[in-house]
Amino acid sequence: MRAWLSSIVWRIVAVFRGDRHDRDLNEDIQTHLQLLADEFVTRGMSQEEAQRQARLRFGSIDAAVEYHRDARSMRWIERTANELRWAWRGVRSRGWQAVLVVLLLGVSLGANAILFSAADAFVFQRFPYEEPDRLVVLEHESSFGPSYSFTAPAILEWRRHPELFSAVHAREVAGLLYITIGDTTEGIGAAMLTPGFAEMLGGVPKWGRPLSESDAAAGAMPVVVIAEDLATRMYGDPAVAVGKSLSTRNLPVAVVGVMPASFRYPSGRERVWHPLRLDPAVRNRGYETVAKLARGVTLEQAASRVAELAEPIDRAHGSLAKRRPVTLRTLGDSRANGRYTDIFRVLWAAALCLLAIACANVASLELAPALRRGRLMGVKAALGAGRAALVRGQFFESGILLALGAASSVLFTFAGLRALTAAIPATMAGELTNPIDFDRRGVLFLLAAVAATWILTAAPAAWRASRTRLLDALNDEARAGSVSRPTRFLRQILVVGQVAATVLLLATSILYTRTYAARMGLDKGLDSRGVASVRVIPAHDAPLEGAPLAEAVRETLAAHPQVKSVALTQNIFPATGGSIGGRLSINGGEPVAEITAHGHGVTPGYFNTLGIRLIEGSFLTSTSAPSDVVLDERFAQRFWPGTSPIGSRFKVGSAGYGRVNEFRVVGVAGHVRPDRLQAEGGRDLFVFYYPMIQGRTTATAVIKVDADDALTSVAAALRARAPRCIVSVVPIAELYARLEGDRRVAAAATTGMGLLALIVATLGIYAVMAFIVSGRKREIGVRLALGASTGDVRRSIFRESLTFVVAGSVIGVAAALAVARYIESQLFGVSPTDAGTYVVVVAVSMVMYVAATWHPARQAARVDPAITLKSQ
Amino acid sequence: MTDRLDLLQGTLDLMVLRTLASMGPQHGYGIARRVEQVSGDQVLLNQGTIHASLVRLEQRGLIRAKWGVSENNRRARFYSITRSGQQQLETGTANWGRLTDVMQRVLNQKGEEI
Repeated sequence: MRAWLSSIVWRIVAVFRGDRHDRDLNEDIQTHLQLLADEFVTRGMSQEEAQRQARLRFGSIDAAVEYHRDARSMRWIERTANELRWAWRGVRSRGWQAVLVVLLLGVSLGANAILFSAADAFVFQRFPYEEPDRLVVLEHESSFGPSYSFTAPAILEWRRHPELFSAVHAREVAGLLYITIGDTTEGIGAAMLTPGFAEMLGGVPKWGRPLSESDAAAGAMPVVVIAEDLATRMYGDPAVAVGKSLSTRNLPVAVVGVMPASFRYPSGRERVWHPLRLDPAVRNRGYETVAKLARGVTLEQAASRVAELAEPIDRAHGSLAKRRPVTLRTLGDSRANGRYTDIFRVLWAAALCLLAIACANVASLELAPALRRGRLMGVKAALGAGRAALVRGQFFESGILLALGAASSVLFTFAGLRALTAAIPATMAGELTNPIDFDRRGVLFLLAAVAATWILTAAPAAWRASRTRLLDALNDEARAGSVSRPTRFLRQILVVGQVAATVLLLATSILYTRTYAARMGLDKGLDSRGVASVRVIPAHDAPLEGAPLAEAVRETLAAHPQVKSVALTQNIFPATGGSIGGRLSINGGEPVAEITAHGHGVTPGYFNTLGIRLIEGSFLTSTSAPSDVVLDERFAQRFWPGTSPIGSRFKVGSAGYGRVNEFRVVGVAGHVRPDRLQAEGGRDLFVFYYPMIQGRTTATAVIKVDADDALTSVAAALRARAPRCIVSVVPIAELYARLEGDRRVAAAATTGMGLLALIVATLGIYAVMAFIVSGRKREIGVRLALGASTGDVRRSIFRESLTFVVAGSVIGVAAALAVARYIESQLFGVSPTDAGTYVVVVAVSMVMYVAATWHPARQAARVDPAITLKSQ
Repeated sequence: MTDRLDLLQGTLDLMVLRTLASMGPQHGYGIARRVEQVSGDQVLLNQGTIHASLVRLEQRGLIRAKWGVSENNRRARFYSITRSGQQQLETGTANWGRLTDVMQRVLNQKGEEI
């Protein structure tokens, strides 16, 4: 490889220094001859005889010079340049068709790059760190499940074992950093990291410096490192961020470094990093611990050593680690996030399918000019072009089209990735460690796809070119249409493949779309029209917080002309994050079951604002006692089956809200769908409503407005009334839609690709049929002259294209059934063998068939036998 | 000439590299002469072919050339081996060893073993 490269460079240099090389060689040869002659003279020959003998021994001088020249010639470069010029001419002669091919390739390659990038982030490379297999998370069992929490003494002890871990680092979530840009305040996630944490993952600041040990020392000047994207938003130019000062809850801190936007741990939510100091004296505080295994140490070896180390650590420090055995898990294992894996695998496969359609289409289109230019090829062959040259020509021509296509695909990719990241809900994107971007792996994938596409699209035409036979090509009879059987067969196969892949993509898109619609159509138990949830979170330095903030928010909302009703709430529904667990006992009796319950604190207007039905009893009112609660219908049905719970008292262990831990049922409300029906561990989750207790710093509310477009002005009013607060106003329907974010993305992406495939395949059938018709004009003319009707001709064309469409549809439906079985677990409300879906798909492919064949069939029927026969 | 050896394809390059590696920088004549000497005059070159070999090797970056003055005061191009030339010489020598080994074994096998 190096020798080859060096030889190329040498030749290129030689082109510019040809004369000098000639002179050098001449002189060198003369010296050689002279030295040889000198030798002969010393052996006693005459000067003249020595010269003659020297020439004899040297052999042909011309041959040596010729060889030398050949070695440094650039003939192959000239030849290649010539062939490229020819290819470019070929591309230009195609006109709009070339533009179409470029766009087609650009869109298909772009779709692939986009979905590969997404699949890469969600599935293939979730941890874009150096040597992710060596990164491990230390954890121990706790009563809440696995816990990552370890004390400083334990972490420092592990650091004393470099034979086990090459690095041990700790992280702790820190308070939000509030920044205000324009009139909008937002909260930026922050974490504390031990210096060296980012470097362990391979993260290095793009500007400034990383956190250092001295930053973490007691009494050090407070500093932070921030992410490039945050720096860009705050200062416009991330390079100027270093040295700036940020205001945090405690102190102003200095920015010392800016990490690249792609650096994330554990997700994209944290954008500010403080230094974390491990104080061996502090034993009541735990940190998440991540370590890098020493080279050559396996997970099992490390795990058994860590188990042995646990005892001295316990003895020495009495740390948190002592309670349970410590276990090790790889980073990938501990952050398993299988939820989106299948969907993105399917989407990426769909994109490959689209690329295959585009390849088949372009390959088929490429065959047409190759055939039409059969004579040109023949002429070239007659002038001495070898088969290799003809094949090369074809590859160059496809290569030019592909290069243009690839260039446009980069534009599509950037636009598409922007659209995709906007479409993916923040909750889903926030879990990503590897951002969805066109990174190095994306570029490599695109290059590989381009190479594969090049071969796939050029191969059939190149094969055809390599079969150019001089006599056939020059023969007048050899013209488009009357082509060899294998060539026509090849084109038909390509069309059948396109139809099949299109049917497959359309079927998948319908299944996903129906799944999304079915999920969205589920009864939510409330009237979401015009209902939005409001959340106002005060910054540490906000003028209002707690009860005064909640009152200000309520007043502002109530005073807004477009808000019809408003109710304050404890938190945002349908999220059921805060829940209580314990044994349920009713009316002071024995516990009946272990349950997890979500109590939702609300003010009286809540039920009306959301349009929740009253099943029995009454809703909460302004005179309700703190222990009065309204049960969700599902809760009541499960534990008071067949009887009325009204007046019953119940407890959930000793858990409660405020000072209340025994509740009295005053009413039952219709079931409202929460974000989940099961709590962690698979226990059923039950909901009840209690009178809201003021006192949280954050204010949350629900409102009903008369028009959805009112929400912007509602948010603006709140921002004006509550400065330095994060204000979010989100329609309830959107909150539910976010729960289905992955299905929404799947439905939108497959629908987009399905429609694209439909257009591409229609064009593909059209091109082949038009080509067949134009090649058969003579045959059609003869048939018409012999008395066939134009209807007969049209029918025969339709019959021919029907064969492809039927064959393609059958294969496509069979493939779709197989794929549907694979994605069955992702489907909802629609069966993978749903007949309706397949009927629709086949109907669509029939429409495609008619649309694509209509024009060619009409052209065929318009053939004038007199003209056609005469011209032949 | 019939008792002289015909050179196999590619062997001359290896001989040139070997010569430069053991003798240090040499001009074309010196290399040709050395090859002939070492071979006990079994190999008698058309010395012009040395220049074809030299340009091949120079092109592949295995040797480099510099103008100098020969022992009898003539301006000549002196060729020296490069680091990648050394590597090439090592692999080439190893390959050659293996090839001769195999040739020996194949050619020396006894009739009944065939």
